[in-house]
Amino acid sequence: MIELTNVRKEYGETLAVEDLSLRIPTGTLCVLIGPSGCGKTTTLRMINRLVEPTSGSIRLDGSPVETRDVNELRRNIGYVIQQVGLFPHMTVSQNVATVPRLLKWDKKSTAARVNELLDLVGLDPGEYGEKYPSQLSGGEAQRIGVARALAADPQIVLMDEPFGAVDPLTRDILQSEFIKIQRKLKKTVVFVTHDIDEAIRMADTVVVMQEGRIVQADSPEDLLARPATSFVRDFVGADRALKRLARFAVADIMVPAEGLGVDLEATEIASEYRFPWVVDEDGRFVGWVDTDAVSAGTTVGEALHRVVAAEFCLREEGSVKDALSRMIHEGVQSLPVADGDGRLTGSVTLAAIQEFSTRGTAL
Amino acid sequence: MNRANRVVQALAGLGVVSLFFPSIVAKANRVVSGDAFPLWDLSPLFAALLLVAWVLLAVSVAGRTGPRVPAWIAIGLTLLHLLIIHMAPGWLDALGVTYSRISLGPHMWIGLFSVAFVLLDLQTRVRNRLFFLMVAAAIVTFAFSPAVQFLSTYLEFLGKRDRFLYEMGRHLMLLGWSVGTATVVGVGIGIGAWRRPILESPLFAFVNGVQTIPSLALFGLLIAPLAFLSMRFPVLRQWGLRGIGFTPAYIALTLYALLPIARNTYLGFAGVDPAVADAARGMGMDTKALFLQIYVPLATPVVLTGIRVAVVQAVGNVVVAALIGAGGLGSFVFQGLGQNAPDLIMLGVLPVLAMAILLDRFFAVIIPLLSPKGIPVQP
Ligand SMILES: Nc1ncnc2c1ncn2[C@@H]1O[C@H](COP(=O)(O)OP(=O)(O)OP(=O)(O)O)[C@@H](O)[C@H]1O
Ligand SMILES: [Mg+2]
Repeated sequence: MIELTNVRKEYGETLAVEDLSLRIPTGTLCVLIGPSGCGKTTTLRMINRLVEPTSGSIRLDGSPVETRDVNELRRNIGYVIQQVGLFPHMTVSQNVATVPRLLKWDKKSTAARVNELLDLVGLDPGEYGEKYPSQLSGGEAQRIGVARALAADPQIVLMDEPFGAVDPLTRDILQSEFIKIQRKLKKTVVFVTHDIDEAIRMADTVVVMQEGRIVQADSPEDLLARPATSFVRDFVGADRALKRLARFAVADIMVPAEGLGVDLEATEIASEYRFPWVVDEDGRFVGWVDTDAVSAGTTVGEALHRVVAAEFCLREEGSVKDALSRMIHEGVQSLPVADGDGRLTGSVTLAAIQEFSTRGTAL
Repeated sequence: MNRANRVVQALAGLGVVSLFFPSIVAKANRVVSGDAFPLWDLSPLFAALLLVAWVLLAVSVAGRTGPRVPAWIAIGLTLLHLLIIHMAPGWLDALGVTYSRISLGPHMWIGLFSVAFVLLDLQTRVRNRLFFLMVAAAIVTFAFSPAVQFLSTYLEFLGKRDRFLYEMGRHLMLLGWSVGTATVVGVGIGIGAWRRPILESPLFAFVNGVQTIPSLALFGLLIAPLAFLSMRFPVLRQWGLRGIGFTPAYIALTLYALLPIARNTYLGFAGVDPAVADAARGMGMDTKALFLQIYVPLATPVVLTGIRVAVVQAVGNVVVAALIGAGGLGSFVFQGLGQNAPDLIMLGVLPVLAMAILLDRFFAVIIPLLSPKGIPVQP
């Protein structure tokens, strides 16, 4: 647990951080967000004592940071920055091995750990280990930056706009990879960003800062549902309802659904919808029929409009926002949900999304 | 067309112009001024070959071809010039000229100068080692040519062999002491200015200020105070401190060598990416580790480049030191100037040129070896 209590930092006349109090529970990811100059970096750097607070206290698991040897403290806190700061004269392996080297680990366990970490961030140790930073792309360099921060398995990781300098596509990949890593490792992460979408995607808690103070600290869902001030409302953007939907999975709102069998006689179709869905013998989604257009004497299979299940169906783990987007695009009121094998598992309706969204916002 | 190619073309033009000047001067003895012969009189064939080669060189850099074709032409030009010296005694004999020594005329000096600069220019672009080996082999082979026995500069050398070796040794000693001292002091100044920004402007004001004083004036400026000190304190005189000779030369040369070393040291350390230092500190590197493991290796190539510049400059500056009695190869130059003896001047100038080029090459090889891998080092 990281606890900041009434922390304040002045640079001469400038008040960078003003009486800031914040608790970050162990194993959670806390995002600090706010406009440029609001004190995010300063707050972050006070945790590993790269900046000494003017007043207030910072405790890690109850022990005040200033009582610990500063280098020993930093070796136990991972640190990732936007510019990465890889050592250009050291290979990727040597870079990752920095903290283990400072902690005087033996060669064998260091080497094993380096390989393990390169694997973790998705880079082949054989291919990348002996490369120099100048030979890496921006995305690769930032992965190494993350691996280097995690090398000695610190419980706390500080990240200052770690994905701020890469292109949007790479950023997206790095974000999802880091989310995976975080699910596995459960570090206590303090993550600074400018990007509200990134914050909402990564955070357990979003801390919105303004002029050195916290204006709201909440889960992403609550932040989007109930912005505390007009500043926060503006900051999260007018599309906050949509952003909020991005936080929920199709599985959260889907209801069970059944499909017609392909062998069914057209006359026997008893559906409340005009376009009922059709499944094959194994329950796999195969398409839909237009009940107004089927003539007597044919089977559902003969009147079938075939579609590719993987393209047409939603997935349970997909976001509600994407489901809504699909409905608008296709001009339909509902969409089927299928599992990895294409089996129909349920449906999502526009009405359900609407109700879910208003309930959340109005609550 | 890029700038480097325009330089080569200008040098080629100079080469063509050089053909209008006398090529070989035949003398009956050391004192007479001798008879000058243009190359057209000695060997129209070689004159034509040279003309064609210079024109081809200029044309070869005009297109988009790489540096390989011009490099081969430059090697050809080197060989042609050396061959002309080799053949000169025969051509003079054929003309019935009597001589005991041969001097090179303006044509040969300008021509050799242009070739040398073309080679220097191309060597930064041609990666093939064979290129340099061929040039070196041509020069070594030439040393065995019988024509060398007649070359007046060589005869000057024979007459002054012991003094030549002595002055060469002195030259190197002055060079070594001054640049050695400047390295220690300059690196100190550079790091001091980097660590304590307050010191930066006074330190560099001093080091830069020194550079603006012409070298001769600086040597002169040191004579009076040092002479005074040595008169006032006999003990200093016993240690060898005098107004003229080694001491003022050593001090002045050291001061000159300070700027490139101090400046590059400062730039090398201050140029380390702040993000790299921040990451290192944030991961718990203490001050000592940060300095030794991050700053020093990253600054090394820049510092070494400063030392390289200082050494090459100092080779030339030591020449001037001869004026205040410090000796070195400059003593031949000034003696030759005084006696109006170009051969004697050349006896001083040629080894200084060779020394500058060889030391520069030495650093070009050694700097990448001493620099950490992974960071770009200019050749
Ligand atoms: N070393 C320093 N000396 C003086 N003022 C500083 C220093 N570091 C930060 N500040 C000031 O403190 C305030 C907060 O800076 P900080 O770097 O924490 O902002 P930030 O939220 O990280 O901004 P950004 O999003 O631009 O990175 C700014 O007004 C900044 O100018
Ligand atoms: Mg910042």
